[in-house]
Amino acid sequence: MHVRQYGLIGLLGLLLGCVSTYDPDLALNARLVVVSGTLTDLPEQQVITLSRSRSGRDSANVSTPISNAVAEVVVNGAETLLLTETQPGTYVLPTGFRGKVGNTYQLRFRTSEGGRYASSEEAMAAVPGIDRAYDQFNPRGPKTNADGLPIPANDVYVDFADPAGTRNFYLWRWRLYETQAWCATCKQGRYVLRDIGPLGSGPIEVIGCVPDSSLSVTNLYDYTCRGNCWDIFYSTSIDVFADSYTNGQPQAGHKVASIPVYQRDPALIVIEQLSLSPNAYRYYKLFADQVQNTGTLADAPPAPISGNVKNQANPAENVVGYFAASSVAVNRYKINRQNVTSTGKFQGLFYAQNGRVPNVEVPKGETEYGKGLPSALCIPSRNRTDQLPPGWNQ
Amino acid sequence: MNRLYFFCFLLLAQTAVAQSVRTRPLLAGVATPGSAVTLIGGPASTGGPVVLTADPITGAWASLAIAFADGPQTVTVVASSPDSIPTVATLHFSVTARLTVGTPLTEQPIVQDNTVGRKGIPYTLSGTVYDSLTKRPLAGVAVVVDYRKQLTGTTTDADGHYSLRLNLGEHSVVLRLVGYKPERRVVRITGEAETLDVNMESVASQLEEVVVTTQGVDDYVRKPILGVNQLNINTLKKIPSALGEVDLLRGLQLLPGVTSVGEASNGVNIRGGTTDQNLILLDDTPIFNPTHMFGLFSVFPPDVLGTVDLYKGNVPARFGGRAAAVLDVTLRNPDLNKAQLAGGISFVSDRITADIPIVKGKLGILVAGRGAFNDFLLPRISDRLADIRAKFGDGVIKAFWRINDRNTLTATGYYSKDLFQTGLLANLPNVNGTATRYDHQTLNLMARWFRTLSPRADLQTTALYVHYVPTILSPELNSGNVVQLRSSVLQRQVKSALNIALPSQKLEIGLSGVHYQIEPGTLLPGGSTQVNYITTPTENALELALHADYERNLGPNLAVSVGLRYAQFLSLGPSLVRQYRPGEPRDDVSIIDSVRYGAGQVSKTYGGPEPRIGLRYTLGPNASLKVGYNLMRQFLQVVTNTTTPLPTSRWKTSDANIRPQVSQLLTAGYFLNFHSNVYELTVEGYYRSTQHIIDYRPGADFLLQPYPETQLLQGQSRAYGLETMISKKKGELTGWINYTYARTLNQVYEGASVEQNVNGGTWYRANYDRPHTLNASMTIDVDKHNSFGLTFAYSTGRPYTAPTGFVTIDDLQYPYYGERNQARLPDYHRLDFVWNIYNPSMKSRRWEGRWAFTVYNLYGRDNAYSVFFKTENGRTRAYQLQIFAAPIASLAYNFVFK
Repeated sequence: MHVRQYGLIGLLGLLLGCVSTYDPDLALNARLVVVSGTLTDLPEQQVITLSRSRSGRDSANVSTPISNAVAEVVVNGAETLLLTETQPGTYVLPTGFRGKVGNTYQLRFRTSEGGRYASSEEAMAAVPGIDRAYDQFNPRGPKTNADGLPIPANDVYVDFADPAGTRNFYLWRWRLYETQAWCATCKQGRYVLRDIGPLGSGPIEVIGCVPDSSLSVTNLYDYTCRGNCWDIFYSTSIDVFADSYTNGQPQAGHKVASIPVYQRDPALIVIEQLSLSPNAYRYYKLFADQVQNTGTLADAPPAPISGNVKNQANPAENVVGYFAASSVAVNRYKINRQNVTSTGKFQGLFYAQNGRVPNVEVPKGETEYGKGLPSALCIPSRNRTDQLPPGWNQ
Repeated sequence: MNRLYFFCFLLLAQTAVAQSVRTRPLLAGVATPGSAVTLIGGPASTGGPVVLTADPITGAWASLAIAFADGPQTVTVVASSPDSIPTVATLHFSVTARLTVGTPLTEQPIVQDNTVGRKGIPYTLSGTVYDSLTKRPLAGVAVVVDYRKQLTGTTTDADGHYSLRLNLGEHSVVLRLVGYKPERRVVRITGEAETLDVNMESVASQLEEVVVTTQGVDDYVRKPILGVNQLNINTLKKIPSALGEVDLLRGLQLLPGVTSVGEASNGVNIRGGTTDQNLILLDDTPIFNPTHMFGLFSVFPPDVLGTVDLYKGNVPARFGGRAAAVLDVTLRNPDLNKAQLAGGISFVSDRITADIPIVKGKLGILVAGRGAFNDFLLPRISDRLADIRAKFGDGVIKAFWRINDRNTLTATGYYSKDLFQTGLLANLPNVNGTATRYDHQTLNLMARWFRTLSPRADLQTTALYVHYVPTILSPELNSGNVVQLRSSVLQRQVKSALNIALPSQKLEIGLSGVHYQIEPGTLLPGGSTQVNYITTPTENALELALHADYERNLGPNLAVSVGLRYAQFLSLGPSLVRQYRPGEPRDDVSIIDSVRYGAGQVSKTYGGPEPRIGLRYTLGPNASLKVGYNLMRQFLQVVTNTTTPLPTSRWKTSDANIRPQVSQLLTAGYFLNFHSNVYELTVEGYYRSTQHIIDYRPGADFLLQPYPETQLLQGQSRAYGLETMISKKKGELTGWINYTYARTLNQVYEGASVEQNVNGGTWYRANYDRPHTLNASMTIDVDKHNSFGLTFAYSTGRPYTAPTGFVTIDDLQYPYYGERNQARLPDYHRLDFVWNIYNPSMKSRRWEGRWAFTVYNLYGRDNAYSVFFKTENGRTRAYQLQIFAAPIASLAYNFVFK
């Protein structure tokens, strides 16, 4: 049997295949208008982005926003809503606008150069609610890279009931809140924060990282958070589903996310279940097949993808991206990580993000700002919040 | 090899007139041509070493003017050349008065006195060479000693006798005669005359055993058809194989014109055809999926293969239904006289074969099985392998009944099954499953009645049944239930052919009827509450054909083969046939009508004549020129948009919306046998044009698709190439080397939009377009117990689709593909090695074993199977997928028990 086992080691090589990075010599030549935007019925600002992606011999990808375009959304072929550019290339619908199931929406815009573009009319379909979200620990979760090793993860599943009598198409996206204990890192410097009023309860003055030339240029000091802080992670992969085989049936065990076990602390995942039109589904499915479901023994050759936006004067111009209208069902699910059983080392979120353990400042003694180690402020951004995420305490 | 071979001394003396001075005895010999010869000692008059140069051509050297004193002499001769080890010989002789008075001695050494040593003195080796079977003495056998024919070689006389003079020590003796297997012996000359009688084995049976060729010695030159390769099974067993599994499809890829998209390719591409354009027959039954474990091993049971004929040029009119080529594999018949058990073990599989004569000389059966079930060990090796499953098995039962002198009945049953699961295959979409498994099986049954009508005519009638059932399985989360997507192809066929052979003429006429029944897919929920039962309509079709093949010699130089097949295809109901507005994409919007056909109603027919013509013009006894033309129609094809079809890919008959593929092939070739038919040279060029090839709309999905025409596009293909090959068919060293230049280009244009054409309707490279291919295979039969094999394969990397740009959507970067197949993978090359050890105990027993030690990819080339781009966390990275990226050594054991 021994000999055979060695043989099997050879065999496993075949079965696993062997993936390594490759340096292709690409002849890039593309100049494309990119449209991105999904109108939803969520009470939040509705955003469309317009940009141009250019790839050429000198650079793989330069993305420039399309500014000063005149953009509008036509509701049910009648009402026209003008969009406002808030940042270059970012256009928002009027405040308070929310999509409505059953309405149709069409995006039109005219660039400053005079190009006229219009999307197809997208009808917002209804979406059933998420009945239940739950997770299972998976010691062999996703790979961060195609040539990497699987890492332990919590696989998050949803159950929902597909409505009978209608064709339904789904898209899932999520954001994940992980508690963050470390809020600042200073390179060749020290974090400075001064209590103005009573210690710990009064107003403070945040000075931030102050350079300290007595430290090495590569020296990094890490500072804990002064209050609650959460890092936010967003889904980056495309997860679509059609009910062609399952129409009208309750669906159980649709995996929406594989969350790496960064730390044993609980985390909150906010799952959004979106409805799609048949064309939007086709677009996202093909897109997913081309950008993420690759590397199998039998890939389909990729082909140009056309979205639903066309140049009115030149239908042959391929516009990338899709203007969609989706109804959204939201589920907030707390991953308590009680089921993490692996012997794997989970060294915390900080380690997962930085690949090192935090380096705590060696206090210099009492300074002009007081003594002891300062803690840092949790500064909100797209990827961080100091506000308790709704659903965290459920 | 050491090039010094000078132990072959002639010491000659030549005298002078003067009696008083003992001068000029000639000291002479032979050494490696051009080497430096130094004489030390002896020549008293010079006092130092004499340096000479051996003749650059003959190697002879001579010292003309050296004076020796009377009495015993010792001379040391050192021959050295820059690229080998010097050899040293010491000569003892006595200079005597007789010598000095000058009797010319031309032949004899000066000294024959035993007291002065033995080196340099030849002894006689003689013997007789016989035919091992007839015991007839063999004349003209070349006897070569120490690999140097010109010095000591001889040939046997009319009585098979030979005689040689050899020095002391060990000598290797090789005996060669055309038509016989070379024999090697080692003889030790110890001081007496030695006798060595040798029996040589005739290779009359071995002639066909040798490498690739067509029937017999010079049939390849004579037959008026071209583009035919016969791969000998014994050759196949001797060449290196991956993991010790003898593999027909891998062997075929060493022939010119046969390529694939890579190691995990589910089939081969022949002269620019897709994998499904090859008709693969196993004992007349079609094989719909030719590989196990997703392309890693082929399904043909290696131990019971009989003949393998590959028709890639002229295809006889009895074959039809596929556009590119025919691979006709037969299983050997059971031994009617002797029971025999054979088997083997490799890292991959276990095999067993039994020949069971039931009525001696009349009725026998052959049972063979092969299984690979070792995957249960995978999790023990590594946790990483816990979710891989790979099992396969195949089995054959073949019976042969000689009813009487005029009638025989042959029946074959073949079954093959695979279970396969890996992360390297796509999941079943839109079913919430935890993994995806592939399970496919086929049952092929065939019965043939062969009747001799007269010594010149016979009739063969064959009935066959093939049921291929691929299934995709998707286990549900936290439940024992498995959702299945099952499809099947059922082919039933009856055919009959009458063969008439007249002197210089041959005629075959026949007819055939095929019924196809295809279940394109049924989703079986099992116990699932999530999934609906969904089925797609069953397709029924008939393919009826008549054929005639006629071969005739027209005078001494010209021969012609004319074939005609007439095929009629009928697509049958029940079916709902849609009609689409012409010129628009076929989809739900462009339907203008749909017609329902009842059971058995003909919804569409296609058909037409398929001429097959071959001409041969002989140029002398060993050379010929040939021209051929072929037309073939294909009514059943795989529709899939992957680079290589999955075992579960959908088979689709032609219908009102999918036209049959029609291929025309024009070939011309030059054929030459030379060096007593030991070598064969072939040069063939071809041009092939195919109409209505199948391509796909972006995002095509055929799973449970009732209207596949909405997913596909039809276009045309052209392929051309030049194939050259030299093979050495006989001898200890056999093998071949071939170079092929071949191109395959497709064009698809059904409309202006991105979804209706490929690359804007320009010609683009097919997935398997690999312009340059060089293959070499060599087998060295060292003796009865050892053979070595090396194969080398090189080809241009296959095309793949690389991004033409990147786009940024919401701060995430994605690739954009503007053009199909515009980039190429790195070149592919690989060297494999095998050492076969036959019957290592070297005793003749009823049990004979054979070990095969194989190293696949000897120098560990990282050949890319594919290059792909993946967007991970918002960044696009390029990867290559390799299969067999390291040298893979394996050991296999085979046995025969008689």
